[in-house]
Amino acid sequence: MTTSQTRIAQVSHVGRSYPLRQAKEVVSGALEYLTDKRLPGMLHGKTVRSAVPHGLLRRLDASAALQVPGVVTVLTAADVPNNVMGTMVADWPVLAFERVRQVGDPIALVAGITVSAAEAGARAVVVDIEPLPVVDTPARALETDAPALHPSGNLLVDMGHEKGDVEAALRSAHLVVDQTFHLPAQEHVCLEPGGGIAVYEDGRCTIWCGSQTPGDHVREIARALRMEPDRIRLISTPMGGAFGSKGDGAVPIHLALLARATGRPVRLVLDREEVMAVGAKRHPVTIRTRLGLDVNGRIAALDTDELADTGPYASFGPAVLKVGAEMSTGPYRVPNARFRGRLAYTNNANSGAFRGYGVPQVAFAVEAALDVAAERLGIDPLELRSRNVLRPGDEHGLYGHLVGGNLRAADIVEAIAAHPWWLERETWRASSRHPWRRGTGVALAMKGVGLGSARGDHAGARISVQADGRIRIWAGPNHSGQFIETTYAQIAADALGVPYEQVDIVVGDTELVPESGSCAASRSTYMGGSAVKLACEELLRRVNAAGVEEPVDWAEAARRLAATGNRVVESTFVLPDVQQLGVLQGPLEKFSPHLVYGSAAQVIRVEVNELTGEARVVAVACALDCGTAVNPAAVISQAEGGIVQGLGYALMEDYILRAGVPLTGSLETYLIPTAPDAPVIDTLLTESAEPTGPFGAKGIAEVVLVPTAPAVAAAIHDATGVRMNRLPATPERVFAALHPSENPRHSAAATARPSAQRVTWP
Amino acid sequence: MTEFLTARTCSELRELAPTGQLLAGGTDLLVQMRSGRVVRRLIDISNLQDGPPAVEREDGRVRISALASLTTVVHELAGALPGLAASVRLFGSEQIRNRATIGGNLANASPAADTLPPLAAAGAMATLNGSAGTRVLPVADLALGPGRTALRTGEWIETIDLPLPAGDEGFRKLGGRQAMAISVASLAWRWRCDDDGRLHDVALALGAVAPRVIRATDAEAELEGRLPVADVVDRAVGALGSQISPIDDVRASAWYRRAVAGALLREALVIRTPQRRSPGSAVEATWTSA
Amino acid sequence: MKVNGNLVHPVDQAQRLLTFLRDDLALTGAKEGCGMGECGACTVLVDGRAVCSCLILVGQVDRADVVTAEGLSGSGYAALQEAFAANHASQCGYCTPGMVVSAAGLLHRVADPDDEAVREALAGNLCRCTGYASIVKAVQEAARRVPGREGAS
Repeated sequence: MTTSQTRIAQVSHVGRSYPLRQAKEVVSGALEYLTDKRLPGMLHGKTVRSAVPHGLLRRLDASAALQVPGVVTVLTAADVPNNVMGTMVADWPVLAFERVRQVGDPIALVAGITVSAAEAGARAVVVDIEPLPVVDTPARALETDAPALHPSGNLLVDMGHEKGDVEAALRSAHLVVDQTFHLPAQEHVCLEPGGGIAVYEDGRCTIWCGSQTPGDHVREIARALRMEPDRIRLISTPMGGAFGSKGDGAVPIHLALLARATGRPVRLVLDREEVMAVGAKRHPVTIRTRLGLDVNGRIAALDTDELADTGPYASFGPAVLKVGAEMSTGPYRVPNARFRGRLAYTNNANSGAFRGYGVPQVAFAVEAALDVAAERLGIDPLELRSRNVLRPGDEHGLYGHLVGGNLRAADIVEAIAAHPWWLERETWRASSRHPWRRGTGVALAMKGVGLGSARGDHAGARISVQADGRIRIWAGPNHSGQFIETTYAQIAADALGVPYEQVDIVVGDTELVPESGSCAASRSTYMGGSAVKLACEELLRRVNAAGVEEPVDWAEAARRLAATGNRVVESTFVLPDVQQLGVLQGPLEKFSPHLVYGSAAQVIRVEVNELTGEARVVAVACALDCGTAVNPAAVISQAEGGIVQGLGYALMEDYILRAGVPLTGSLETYLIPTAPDAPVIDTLLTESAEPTGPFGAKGIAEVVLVPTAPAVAAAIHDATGVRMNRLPATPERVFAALHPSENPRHSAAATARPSAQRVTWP
Repeated sequence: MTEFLTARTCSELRELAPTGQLLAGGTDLLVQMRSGRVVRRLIDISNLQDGPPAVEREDGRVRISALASLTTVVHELAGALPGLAASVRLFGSEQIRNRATIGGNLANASPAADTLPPLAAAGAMATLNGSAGTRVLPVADLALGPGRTALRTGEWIETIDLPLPAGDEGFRKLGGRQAMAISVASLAWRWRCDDDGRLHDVALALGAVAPRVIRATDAEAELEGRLPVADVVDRAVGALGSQISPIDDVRASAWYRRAVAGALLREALVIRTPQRRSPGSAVEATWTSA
Repeated sequence: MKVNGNLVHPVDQAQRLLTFLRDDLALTGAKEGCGMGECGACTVLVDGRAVCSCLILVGQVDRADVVTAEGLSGSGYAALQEAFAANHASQCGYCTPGMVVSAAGLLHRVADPDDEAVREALAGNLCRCTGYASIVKAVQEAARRVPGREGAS
């Protein structure tokens, strides 16, 4: 014990901005991604997909495809031993059976000796689909005469919770803001399309395919192929982006099916259009928010009613909605709060996990409502947030549990309030030159770290001293771009007191790495780093017990430990549950509240062209409550990347379908920010030691993008006086809001000018 | 299978051109082929050794090769055609501009073609070459509608000839983001401002608001010889309406295209000076003026 | 055609340059992110200019000098690659080889590009991880260290 405490005082690697461990290989193009991998004798796979959003599979005939030269096999639903997937709800066929429910649903898999043979084979598969009526909105899905997409009906989840008496508090509030928000489907656009390669030999299957949840994917493959999980090995690193998109989905299962059916290595890489059609999006939602405040701007009540479109399959929807519920009250004290959320099945694009996991939607609603309240009450918007922000010892707004003492939301409000871009907002506005009007907005957010209470969230790490004294660590959450090997090595170097370069890190291989859950939920550094630290501390205890004195000679330590058979140590870190439950009743896993939260505040400067409606984000200041920044450059990089994803969500990203058919199915029509769209970003790290985290670290990779969209909307309002309650704030929508009289269709629907706001006065 | 042939000289090209699909930079054609367009024979014209020089100037006119890359053309123009240069700056990406040609952009006949509005506003003439010899056509008449041109079998666009601007020329494009976006609407203009501030030789061309790039002749007439004061600007903007016929698509509604075409003209007339780059803003790449 | 200084002899003139590099030469630094010139992950230099190798057929560049990310350090751009690493300009890294190649194309013609010029030159290279700021910084830092290149305009 004393050893590890001494180490904390001697931190020397934690806090340093080490470069990405694979940087040399990355910049020279030498790093082999899993979609780059080739194996001798490999076949090429191609997926036959549905072109219609909803229909009955009347005929599926592969005989002509099998005659195509070079085609080796064609697999259909009949070839899947147990044709089901879905880690939360098993509602998702591996290959379409009898019915298709979205454009892009996989119907058959073709393997050929060349890419072109596989493609020709795929074209030769005869698919006859009888179209069914399309359920194209969640509202339509819940009508009694809507076609049911699943035997259980179209309502996947209806969850709610109330603290206090919301209706009574709204009735007696000084001001009630009542607004409805519409938020779009957002596509991840990982630069690497999904795919990889698989081999099946001697009853064992090895799949090289990007995955954020290698353990879950192994279990999904095992269930579908009726194999024992220990006969499946998934190698899931390096990964060309994830952001939630590689937590589920059929690709690893398809790879395993093809490899087993052919007995040869099979490579399958999706086209961008396939990824965009079937990749799970951020849930598009409609949220009605009623926010009641007293005359001093203190929140009296908050009511959130959310209807989300999950598309044809559940994916992670139930958990996304649950996390959204928890964050619906934002980082605020709310004496009376209610959340109701529903998830409906439709024939639109599938929704699932996306960085932020339900929080960007609810945060936009509460932040936008607060902005209206600030205007109505004549209180500065940041001051209004300061009056309501959660402080140490406060209870959570919706569930009333005691929030972990290290939430520094109040500190980041102070930090951002002192930023020049906030202090000089009047100067900025006054410097507008027609037709560009300038404005400044601010928003705040928090997001839990890890999966939440009572979900069995844990991560493991295994450590060994090599004969030459090098330290090798096999650790959990995988690398998806967050410098995780660097972070693990920094933590290990300080925990053991060894040079950073002496530590080797292995991630992303289910045969070598202990089960550690997902690289998601802002949990990799916190959970994986904690497991690494525990393992290091246990190793050090063993080394000391073996009589090796400090400073440790690690080659000697390896010899001594080998003699006792003690050279490998494995440790597990379990996410701490909330301790003081507040008003929560019943099973904790129903709500899974968090003990540890990260938070972020952003000030955003925009320019809006009042003639055309174009809005551009010029500068973003971000104050980040990140605990200890293990690798500050990596933390700042997460913030910068998250902010630009957030501004894409605010201004341009919109996965549009018409009657279930995608209209933005390529990177020509679905736009994400380019370098000229990205602003100057100033990130302030507000560090503090999180007592439950490794060397005080906590997770921030999601919360960084949450305040961006509401701050952009607030800045557009500051510049022009219009409120964008529907995202993205495209030039057309901003123009329609600025010129409602010229607008035949948009004025009421798209946006609302101040006069059209539904503000209820007491 | 697609057959690939290379024309290395103009005489080879004259023979080969009628037998297949010409391939210049390939930045549109190869995308179309990926989307299922079947081409049996491609004839590469990106390696012509005796093609015209990228840019030739004489007597206040300039002749541009339709076969040279946009990057080369703009470099060789050395600031001579700021409106065209601005349209190229907003044309795809650096990678695309390094391959794409004006000839390809015109032959593709997209209503949203970026290089066409400044060329149309300048009254540029295209020289077409082919087995039947050469002929000259206004660039504005090359496109007949989306994807359809006046090019005959075996003809290719060789050069574009246009006068250098006597006054201002500029180009403004509105898209879904600040780079790499297909036009929602675009406007190119030429005019000369006399000492009293009156506009002369007004030429306006609009992209993405009609089946092909059009000259806004009614609006030009409203502005010709006048001071661009408020009611003149209003009349010119109003005069656009009868000449454009925008469509609804995934990028914008017809209603917005109609409104924003006027907004772009209004902006060009009201400001007429380059926007300064705002502090911290990424790129003010949407505006230029001579 | 020369690729990274080596003479190569493609068989199929109608093959995409990207496919030739990846499948025939096993040079997988150029990635296929979209196949239609929208993402820039496949960027290579052809005669010193950045191009999308997914939109070029091998026959079009049969006499050209092609440089991929793998060949950059041999073409005098090691400092650029080092600047990307030192400035934390990659997260997942998938866009990075194409991004570095585009930056090399820029530095080939502009010795000391400002922020705006860098962003404009890299507009065709999508990055979903970094927010671009660290990339712009890396390119500008490298510009100060890359030895002067011929043919700058």
